[in-house]
Amino acid sequence: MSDQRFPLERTRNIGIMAHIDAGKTTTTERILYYTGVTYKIGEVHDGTAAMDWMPQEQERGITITSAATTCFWNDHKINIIDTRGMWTSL
Amino acid sequence: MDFTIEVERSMRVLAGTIIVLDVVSGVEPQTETVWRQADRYNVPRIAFLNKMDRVGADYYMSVTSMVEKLGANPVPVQIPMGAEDKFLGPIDLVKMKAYYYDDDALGAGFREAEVPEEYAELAAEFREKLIESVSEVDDALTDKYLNGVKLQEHEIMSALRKGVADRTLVPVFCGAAFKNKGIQMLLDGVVDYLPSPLDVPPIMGIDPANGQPIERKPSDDEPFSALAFKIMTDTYVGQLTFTRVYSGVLKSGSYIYNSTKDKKERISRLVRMHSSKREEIGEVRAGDIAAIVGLKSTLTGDTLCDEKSPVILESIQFPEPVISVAIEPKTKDDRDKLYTSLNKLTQEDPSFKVKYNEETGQTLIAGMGELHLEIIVDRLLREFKVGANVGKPQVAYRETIRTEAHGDGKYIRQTGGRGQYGHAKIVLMPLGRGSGFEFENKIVGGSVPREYIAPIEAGIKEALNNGVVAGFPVVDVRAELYDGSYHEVDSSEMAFKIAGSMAMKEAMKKASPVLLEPIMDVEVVTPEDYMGDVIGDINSRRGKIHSMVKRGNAQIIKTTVPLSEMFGYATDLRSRTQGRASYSMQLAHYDELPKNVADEIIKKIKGI
Repeated sequence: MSDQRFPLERTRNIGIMAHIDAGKTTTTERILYYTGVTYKIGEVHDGTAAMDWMPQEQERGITITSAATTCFWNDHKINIIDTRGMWTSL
Repeated sequence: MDFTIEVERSMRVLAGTIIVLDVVSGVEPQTETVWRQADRYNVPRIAFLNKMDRVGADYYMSVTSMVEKLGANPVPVQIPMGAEDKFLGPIDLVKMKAYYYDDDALGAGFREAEVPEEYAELAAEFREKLIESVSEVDDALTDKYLNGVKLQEHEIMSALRKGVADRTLVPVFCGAAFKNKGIQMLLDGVVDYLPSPLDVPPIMGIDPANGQPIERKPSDDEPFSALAFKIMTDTYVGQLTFTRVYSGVLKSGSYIYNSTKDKKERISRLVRMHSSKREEIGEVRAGDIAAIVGLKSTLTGDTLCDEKSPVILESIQFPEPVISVAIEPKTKDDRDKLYTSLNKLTQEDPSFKVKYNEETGQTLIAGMGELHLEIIVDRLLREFKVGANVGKPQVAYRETIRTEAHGDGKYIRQTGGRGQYGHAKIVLMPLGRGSGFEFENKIVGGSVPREYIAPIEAGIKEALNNGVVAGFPVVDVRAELYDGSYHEVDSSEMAFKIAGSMAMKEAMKKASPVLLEPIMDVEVVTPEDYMGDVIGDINSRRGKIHSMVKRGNAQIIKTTVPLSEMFGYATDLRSRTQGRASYSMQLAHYDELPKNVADEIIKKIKGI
């Protein structure tokens, strides 16, 4: 999927913002999880694999902390931009 | 919030945002803060009302709180079936379908069904409200609505999309992320309603050659332009420069031009970060985001572009830092660590400056505000584990003069052997605020030989670093060198440099020197209930109120306040308004300190 082209109208550059504890992290994780599963249709995606995946991901923490994480949904490319530090609230 | 530059930069990267609310509490203080920021930067948004599974979950109360506390126009596109442990899933009001989640399938298993009987009436009521809201967005739909014509699904969706882009409405979704419910529909909402990079106006930049404005359309066919918006260090690949491409195509292995730094850089690799892996990509196109590996001189905020069609997208001049804090590393190890860490931090955030004071052995970190420095210091101590003592933040005062005065500097030493002889006469004049320093050589007839002019200027500049009032840098003065004398044998560059410095100091003392302090533009956004308190507090901080404007049900108060009075403001404002107000500040200008305040500062500094 390296050079898979998504025309501009099918690209979204978004942030996710919330009051602390409103569930921003969980929502972001779930978005990444479902987009991952759906994009890899045909690969393993039963419940057990799913649950294994999330804690491991949290442990490695590569992406949730990435400045921009790309995922795919419904033939669209979504870039999730980490807004921490950008939207420093008091 | 004093990161105006960062926020502005992020706004150029985002084209939309999801606002997540806790449906037990509705709108909370930080929801208001992020909402106002999104308002200020015109960011389209959709809302996800999360935690429907929690005890006390109240979807309708939360929607109402968006109207009451945010002055928003929330338009539910879903309503929940059940709540708390009986939350089954959402009803989609556009499709008029119900979505049931199977609790055991981790959200992967949900089924579409007809709206159940018990929700039929409620769904019809909210569907009607939805239709009413979207028909206000589009004139053609208004007619249809008024004539009782049934709207098609695609018409409703495109009107919602338009309303989001115009920021006249906010579609509202519900779910329970923790219980894996509602995420798929939220993602559909991102795709259906949030704008694409094409829906956002073309980015503006300037031509570095002549300062003329240039527009770059979001198209692969335009010349390449991109903004480096974040620099991060990755354990495996090293430094990653996150880049938003505005126009053209960037290929891995190619060379690009950093127009901000006037330097060519090589793109060794292009990487896309996914949740479970990083993927190498061959190219990145207009509208997209990727991380570049291999950039050496590029800092956060720099523009990358085609060398043949140079453009600078962000011509933000970082204002001079107005506040500083001293850091003393505890051990030699800490000292080394401090330098490497500061190096990394300045790459990520070029708006703070580092100065090393050889005399005291202290390292000074200067930044744009108290909070800015706090965050940098916190990262040094925690993230980079530097052991250090940290001083109190200090305002960066400056000095200037009020009247014209002459200075006569003579440096003569005759202590056997070769002596020293330097002599300079100058006149010092005040300049307007922000003019900096001017120097002119007005000597005619060679009373000082040409080769000693530059050393005199250097001496004057050196004296400018330490003003005569309290040792702060001197600004907004003009020095004219009009006379002097020299000695055939004893004159040297060093002697004239010292003479220049002496002349400057003498002139300064006679020219009614004064202290200048940074005055900040402060914008406070507060719910109306706290307006009186906020204004009273600003007045007690030597602040001046310039305007008050209503936005939604918040008041925006524009003021100017001396920086020295702003210490601890974040905490004060929070406690005064129960965390519901926010503020931003940036340097407005430098202004003369009132005499009584100046005297106190001088006393403190000189230790009298």
